[in-house]
Amino acid sequence: MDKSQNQPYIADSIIQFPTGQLKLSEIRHLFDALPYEVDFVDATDHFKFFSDQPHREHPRSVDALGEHVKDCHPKQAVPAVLEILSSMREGRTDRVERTLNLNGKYVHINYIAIRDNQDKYLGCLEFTANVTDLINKFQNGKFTSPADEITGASDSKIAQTKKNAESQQSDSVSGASEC
Amino acid sequence: MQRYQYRFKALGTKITLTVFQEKDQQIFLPSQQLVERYEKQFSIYRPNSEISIINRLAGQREVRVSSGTFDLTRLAREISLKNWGFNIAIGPLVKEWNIGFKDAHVPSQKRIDALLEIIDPTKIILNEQSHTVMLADPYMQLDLGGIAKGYIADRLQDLWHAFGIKVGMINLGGNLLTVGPCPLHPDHQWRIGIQNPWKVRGESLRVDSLPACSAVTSGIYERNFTSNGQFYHHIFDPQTGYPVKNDLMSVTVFTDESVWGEIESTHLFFNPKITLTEAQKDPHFIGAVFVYQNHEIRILGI
Repeated sequence: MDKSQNQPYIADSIIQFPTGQLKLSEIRHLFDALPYEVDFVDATDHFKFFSDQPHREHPRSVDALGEHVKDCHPKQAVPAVLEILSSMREGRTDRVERTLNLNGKYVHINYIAIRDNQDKYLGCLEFTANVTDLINKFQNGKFTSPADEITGASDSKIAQTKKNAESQQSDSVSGASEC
Repeated sequence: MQRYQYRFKALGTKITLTVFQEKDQQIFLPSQQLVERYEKQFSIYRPNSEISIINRLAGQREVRVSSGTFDLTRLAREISLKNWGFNIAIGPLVKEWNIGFKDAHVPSQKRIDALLEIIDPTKIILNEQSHTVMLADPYMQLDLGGIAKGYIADRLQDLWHAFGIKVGMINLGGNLLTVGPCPLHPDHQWRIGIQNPWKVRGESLRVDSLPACSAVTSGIYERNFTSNGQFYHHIFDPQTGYPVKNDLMSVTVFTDESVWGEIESTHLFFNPKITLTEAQKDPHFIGAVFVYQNHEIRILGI
């Protein structure tokens, strides 16, 4: 099924949020442009929506839309998925976090319970981020440490070179004081 | 908030001073001069330092020293007698092993036994009235290396206070002293990182929030060598003459005064099973983080 041919149902409607307004068409493209994958399972545990990025970490098919989660997950994952969802529905959990290595990439997943202002459970948002680039940047020192300063054992390399330099230095000093 | 930093090399390490007010940078030059003065006084690598003179005249005669050298030697001797692992006279043993240098080796047991006699701290003779120090054995050598950095950090803080500078950081190659309330965070606590022993320098294993205090780390990850498959590091047990055997990688100690950080980091390295009550018998103690070779972490008091 060619998703690009399907426009949102009411193309020109504007949705008024407390913090501003978006056209339905804007919402669609906004989801597509997010550098994160978004999936939504409703309060009855049915798969209702996924964002349409070109290279998803978790490929989804529109055929799965409307299915119960136990029908669109691998069998061995179903008990864990159901447990997360029922704990959210019962208010025991608001967020579950997973970190995993997927096809040589670092992937960070958040399952977030969505509730309305009366705390009524609306469903679960699965938020998937490929954080490989972020981790590489961190490892290459692109982020400064949250520490103001770092304590460590004396740096031996500096100590050694300093010692060597000093023994040479003190030799030349005694020579200099003679003349 | 702007940081103003000054870096220089002294005491065999990299020194970084940080202040947070532009005009407080005036303290950098006098600070460097103070460090260099103490280095001239304490360093065993300066042939004319007070400590070098004491060492050269070991077994011969007493040497009159300045009050700073006398006080620090007296404190170091007192702590050395407690059997906490710290020993100011351990120099000849360290030199024999020479860990951290190319010719590091395991000495013979006969040689170690002879050295254990030499490094006896009761053979340091002090005279309170004349401020003189004498080493009773001609082969004895004092080395303030393990305690001088802490002492100097404390004196730098005194100097800053004398100049009215109440906030900043003094970092003597990993020995850290934070001064005053931290201006970087709303809770005024300093974020102190502990070096990750398995990573490059500057990468922290964990970050703790603490009020102004000293942070000193004793670790075996910087100086060590392997001989016949045996791993040897540079923290020696004055009782056995061998590197202390335990499963620690490092100990970081938070104390009020930095000189006590130096003392306690060694003390706790030798006594990793210490309870909080026991550790708090030292009124200078604030907290400690033990990092084990199997990557476990034990936190005490913070």
